[in-house]
Amino acid sequence: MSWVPLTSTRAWTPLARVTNLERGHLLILAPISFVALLLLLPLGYLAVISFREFNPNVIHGTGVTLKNYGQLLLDPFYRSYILYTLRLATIVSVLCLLLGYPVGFLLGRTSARKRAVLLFLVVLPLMAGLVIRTFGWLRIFGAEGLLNQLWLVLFGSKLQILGTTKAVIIGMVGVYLPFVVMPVYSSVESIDRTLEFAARNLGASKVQAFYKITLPLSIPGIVLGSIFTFTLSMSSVITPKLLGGRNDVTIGALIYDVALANSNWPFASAMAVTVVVINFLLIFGYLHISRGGMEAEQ
Amino acid sequence: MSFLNLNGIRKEYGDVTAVDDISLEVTEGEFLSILGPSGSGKTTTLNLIAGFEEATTGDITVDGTSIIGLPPEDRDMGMIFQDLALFPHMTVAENVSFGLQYQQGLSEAEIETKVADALDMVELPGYQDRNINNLSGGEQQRVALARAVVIEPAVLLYDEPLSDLDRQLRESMRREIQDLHDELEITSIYVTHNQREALTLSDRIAVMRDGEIAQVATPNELYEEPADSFVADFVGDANLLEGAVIASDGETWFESGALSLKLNGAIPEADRNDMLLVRPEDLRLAPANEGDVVSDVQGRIANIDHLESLSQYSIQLDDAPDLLVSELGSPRFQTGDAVQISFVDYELIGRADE
Repeated sequence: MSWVPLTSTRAWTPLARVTNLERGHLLILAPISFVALLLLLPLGYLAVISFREFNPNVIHGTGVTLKNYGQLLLDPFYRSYILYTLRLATIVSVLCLLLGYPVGFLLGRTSARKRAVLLFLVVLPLMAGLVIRTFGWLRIFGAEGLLNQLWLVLFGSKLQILGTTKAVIIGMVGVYLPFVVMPVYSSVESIDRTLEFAARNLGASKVQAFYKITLPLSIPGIVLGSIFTFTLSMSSVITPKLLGGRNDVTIGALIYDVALANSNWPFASAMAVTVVVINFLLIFGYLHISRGGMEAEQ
Repeated sequence: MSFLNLNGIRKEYGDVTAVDDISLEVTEGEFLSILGPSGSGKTTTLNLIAGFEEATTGDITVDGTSIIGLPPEDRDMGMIFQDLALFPHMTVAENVSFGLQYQQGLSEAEIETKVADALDMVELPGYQDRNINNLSGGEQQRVALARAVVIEPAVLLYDEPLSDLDRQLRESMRREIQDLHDELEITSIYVTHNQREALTLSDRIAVMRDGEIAQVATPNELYEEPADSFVADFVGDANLLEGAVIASDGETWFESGALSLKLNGAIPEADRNDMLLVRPEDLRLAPANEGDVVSDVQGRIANIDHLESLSQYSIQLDDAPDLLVSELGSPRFQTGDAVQISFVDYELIGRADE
């Protein structure tokens, strides 16, 4: 049974003539077409624009060119934005994983009553929204902020954190932490606890049982969580802009400026498409490497 | 001499007492089953021995040394879990060798040999590199056995390992466990709610009820001389009759409705409240119209079960609960037939506390 394409006349045949199996496909067709319309169409449009020439008066010129990609990948100035963003996304993902795994593990292993409270605390920041959370960091890191007042009392000096990459990293880790905690929690929770008992029974200590059994079996949660944080960090704009300095410009922020300030849609599109391709390649490679663990879970 | 010793073991969860002061002595090489309905505390008892839970009070010793307070990894117990608990991300060999890597002074070659020997023993030669998830239920069962015995534990603990299998597989695995025990003679504790498994596998059986041990005895003793009505009912089929013990003219009788049975010897005052235990095979049936039979009571066949070489009748009496009667061979009566029943063997039995 093949997919019924949107344009096919068969999709419009009366339901009565459609078998049950096809009816199931029709049901899936709705969300699929939704995703296709809202994701693939704009993305496809972007890809098309990225090969067009720059014309400041319209969205794009008419000629076909590779110049946008050439400029982005060959000019060290533009390449540095991509490298900065990649480095930032990697650091943020690793830190999120190191901090988020223990929390997710605790959630997956604690009693149902404590879990409800903890889950609420983990999800709470998500309810506040990205901008509000980042402004919260601003109040903490600012020259007269909470951190500096505390630092002044303790050490008699002031700290310059706001406007540095450190602030960006701390802020982003705070924002994206739940995206590691949740998949790790659900992964750990699905691991049968008797497996740990079996390992202990066979002579493994508590720590050994964790490294030999629980950790490898929670790899799917680790993979999913780090893909979340990495891709979200790769497209971050607001947090680096508000917390970082002049040099903390992500590729996302650059795309924003080039598209809206310079109206250079073709070049902005080329950058956006490049980020999507980089994300795609990295995720693909990552999944490939971690497949051993993913298969074991099934 | 006793090898594994439970001494006044008690386990409480808040207000609930799961295991209520039990004591048990298991000799070296013995196969002892803990038999009981769900919620009787048998699995908790096993977890206390394995060290997954700590007893509230009491002592457990192996070969004279207390193991109370030791973590599970230091208790030298091999366990076969109800859901097997095989490690899904490891091969058969990695599963079986898991416990060996924590034993001192074993070279890689020695580990390999031990794994191969263990797999031979459970009849899975050459299975080392197989994926656990691609094995059949019976094969997984054997891997779990191999993984537990390869570490040569002081005691093997079985937590209802056969309860999830279909009947045919259960029978063959039961024989497998029996053969393994005959060969290795590792002291074994086998927790089950299945009396057939317990009766066929065990040297002795401890019947548990409400966190207490109702009786510890050999399978035969358990059937022939049950401690009370609970054990009699739980081990094998039983008719338990309510009635009154009546003494007259130097003789004692058990009377229950139309039924009146003579009891042997004097019945102490303390046993006057007892029930009457009659095993189904200790009842004889005859057609109601057959005149020369000395029958004790009349009834009507309500239901017939034909089990392998046995016919089991449920017989409806006028003013008492149904009687269960079993005979060798195919059924010779039909549902609705009127029959007369004679009691060949019966005994008074103490009433289990409610």
